[in-house]
Amino acid sequence: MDALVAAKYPFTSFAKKYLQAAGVEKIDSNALEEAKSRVIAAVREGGRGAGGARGTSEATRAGLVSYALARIMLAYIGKSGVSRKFALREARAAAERLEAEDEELFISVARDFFPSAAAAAGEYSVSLPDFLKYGSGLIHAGVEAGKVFMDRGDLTGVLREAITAKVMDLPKVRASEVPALVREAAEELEEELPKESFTGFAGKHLALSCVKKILSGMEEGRRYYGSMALAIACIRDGLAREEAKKVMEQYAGNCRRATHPFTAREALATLDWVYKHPAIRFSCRTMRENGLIGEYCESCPYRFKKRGG
Amino acid sequence: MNETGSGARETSFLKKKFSEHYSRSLPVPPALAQRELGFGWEKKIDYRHKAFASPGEFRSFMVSEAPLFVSYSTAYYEFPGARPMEKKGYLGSDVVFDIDIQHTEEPHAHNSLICPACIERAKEDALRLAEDFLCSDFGFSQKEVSVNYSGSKGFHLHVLSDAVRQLPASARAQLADYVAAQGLDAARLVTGAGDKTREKGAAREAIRGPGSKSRGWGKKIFDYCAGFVSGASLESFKEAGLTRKEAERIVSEKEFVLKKMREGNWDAVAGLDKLWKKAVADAVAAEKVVVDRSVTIDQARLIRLPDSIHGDTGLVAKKCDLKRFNPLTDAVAFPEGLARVRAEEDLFVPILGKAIEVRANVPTDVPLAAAVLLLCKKKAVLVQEY
Repeated sequence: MDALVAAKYPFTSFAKKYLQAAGVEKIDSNALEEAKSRVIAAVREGGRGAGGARGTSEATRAGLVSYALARIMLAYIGKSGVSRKFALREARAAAERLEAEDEELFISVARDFFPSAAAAAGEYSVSLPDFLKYGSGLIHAGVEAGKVFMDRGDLTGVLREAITAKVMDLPKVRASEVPALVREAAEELEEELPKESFTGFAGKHLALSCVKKILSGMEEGRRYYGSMALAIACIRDGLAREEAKKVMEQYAGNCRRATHPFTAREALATLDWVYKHPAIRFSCRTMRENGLIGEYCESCPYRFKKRGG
Repeated sequence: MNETGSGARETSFLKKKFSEHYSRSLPVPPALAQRELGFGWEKKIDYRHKAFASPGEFRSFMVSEAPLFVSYSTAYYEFPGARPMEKKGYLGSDVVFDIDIQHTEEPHAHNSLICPACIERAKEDALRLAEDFLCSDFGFSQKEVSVNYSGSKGFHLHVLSDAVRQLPASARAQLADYVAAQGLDAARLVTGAGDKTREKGAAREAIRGPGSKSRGWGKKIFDYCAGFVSGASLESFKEAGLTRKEAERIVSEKEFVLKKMREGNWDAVAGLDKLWKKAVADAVAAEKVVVDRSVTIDQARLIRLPDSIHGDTGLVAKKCDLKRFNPLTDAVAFPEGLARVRAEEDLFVPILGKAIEVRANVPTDVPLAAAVLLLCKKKAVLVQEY
């Protein structure tokens, strides 16, 4: 892979190898500024994320460093809402670039996420377990002999989900291990970011009466879907993972003990999945189909929406 | 205890018989040392978080305690006996599908004690699940799919593949929803078939559907609908709402219609559009397999141990080849022997290929398998064991 590809797709394993080979002698203020701009552009201005074409190998390396620094700063700040926006925009930008790539590069990026990805006769396939790691909508997919067949657009969509999850999967950093320069830049970045709308447990979705009912506990057979709805409400309300964890633990405690107990671990597994798929939408319809709620709540803002709401 | 319920004597009798069975034939789950086990004497699970390091230790427990119900975790754990769940060290989990149909839709003489017709229907569904979904669509080999009778009304299909062990609950939900057609939007697969709202004079949207090269649910719907067109008579088309003229044309041009369908054109001849709404719904209803989604999704589930005895029936949750399996003969734990029982009502026990009748309040000698079933169901008392 050449430098240009690494710069365009900084979340791939080949970009990581490129950066390791190129080496980073020192972190300068320019790199930190670029990293900050990358986050701010994504969060405040809806920018497309940095990366893309870079003229020189030095510039390429700078782009990769800014991506890596941005993620370290996001991990240090620990605001999942900001990380989510950053990841969504990085993934969107990458997906747009992928649409224009030739077949060879497209499939090599796909294989970085789905080792089984293959192209033949104008269509693409990934193994079923690979697809299930990130993909949704299996029911409408072309499933055959353990593979899921897709056109390029659909595979790009699944890749976008995968990229979002990977970018959001931030490194674990201890404050003491973060270089002072980076720490200071992260703190400056935090100051510059718009404040998150919801930091408590009473956001727009968590305040819905149906969600409150779910939080009060579900019976056996509905507990998994209850945890899914609750986790989606948490992420849509911008709760940090740690805040959402408290909500899920409360929920697990409220679920009636039946033949098989519903544990906090199960609830947190759902939470983790949802936080890796931040584009997931809150759906009254799905809640109804899974028997979590009866009729739409009288005051529900989603009751007249046919889809997604 | 009431007159016809399992009291101390009956429970003692059942435990003795179960113990004898387990001393002869011990079911052992794959990777025993990594499984959590649960046992029941009154309920299906009275006691869980039990682990065994070796088959010998497990055998001793089973023979001495003779539980009426034995369940094991679909999950593998580093420390399966640890509590709470978080300390077990989750390593992965098999994917399990549970088919448990109470009644068939078709009218039949339902036997509430144990119903051969309902079990047969569940067996057909299990076979379709194994062949059409797990092997054909999901690509698991026959060796990776272990099928067992539940010991009561249904069947369990365990996917024992490394490829699925790490799947999160959300992925398992997608698999369960796929086989049950939960959330399937047929309008995405057959477009234009519900186009009734066009303005007068406006062009009707062409009906496009899956073709012969489609996959997944598209392929299932295509096969069903093409099969319907292929096999339907003039009268069938008329019954489906077509005019005589439309029906005659489709019958006379059937090969052309089918050729176009294979290419994805579902309205090559006038009148076809009237067929699809019902035919597609029928296809989905015929092809889907209703499973208990919570069993597939739950990674910490305890499920009946294959080849253990079900304490509600005395039948073995036997691993089986569905094409050659009759639970009411092949899953009988106690095929030999007699016992005398008395029931409060007239009962009919279809077991071991016989129709065994027990008259109300008449002490009756019955095959041991029937006696165990009646005692497990708390429908009779033990009068005498032989």
